[in-house]
Amino acid sequence: MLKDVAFPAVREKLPEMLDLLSNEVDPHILQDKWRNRLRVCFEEILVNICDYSGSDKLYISCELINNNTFRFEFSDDGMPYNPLEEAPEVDVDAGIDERRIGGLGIFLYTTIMTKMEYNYSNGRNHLIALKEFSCEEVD
Amino acid sequence: MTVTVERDDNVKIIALDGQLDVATSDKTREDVLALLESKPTVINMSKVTYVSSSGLRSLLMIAKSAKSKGVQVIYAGTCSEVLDVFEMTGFIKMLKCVPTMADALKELGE
Repeated sequence: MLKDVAFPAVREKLPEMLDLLSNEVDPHILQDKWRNRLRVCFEEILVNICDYSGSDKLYISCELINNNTFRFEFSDDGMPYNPLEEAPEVDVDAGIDERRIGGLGIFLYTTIMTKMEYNYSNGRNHLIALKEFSCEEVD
Repeated sequence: MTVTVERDDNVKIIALDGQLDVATSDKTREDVLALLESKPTVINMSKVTYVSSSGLRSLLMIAKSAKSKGVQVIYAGTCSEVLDVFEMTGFIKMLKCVPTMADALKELGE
């Protein structure tokens, strides 16, 4: 379990943040596919906070609940901003010419996670991600 | 991420080795775009172990540039984790992906 582990909100710290989350999560997950998918989500969420929140620090929490659901919380002290409201439509059937360059990151984490929530409280943005696995996917 | 040219005659083979993530994707895109010519090109993906959304953005920009120049690009040997991300985002339908380099060369009549 990780509880409000603080990092400077800069890209240079991203490898450390990803390692911390991997060390916490990977031993419980049986499929490389899901380890990889979660890492994709973590990278996107953390990079967005580092690049756009304006916060000096970000905070990471992670816990396994009910033996098969991970709850991740990413918070920062930046201006109130709900990334889930900004999610652009991504047409996965579009051809090369029609494809838009942006929007893939948020599309990925909202697709991969079971549930995403945002709130602003106590002077912080809180982005909460729940990922429920089947019994075959976690140990 | 390293970008190297493995072959350059009637077909160009560009090999990528590493992770296509937020730290590497911009430079990788610049390197690949600088290597694209009019000839058919295979991008050897067999040593790409990870792709994030920033990596996808770079691959999309490469695909758009190649299409605008009329360059045929085939992606060979993409690993299952990267293919999984391609499938979720529809890139699997947008990019020409084949299992092996031999398959790619066969597609090009080699």
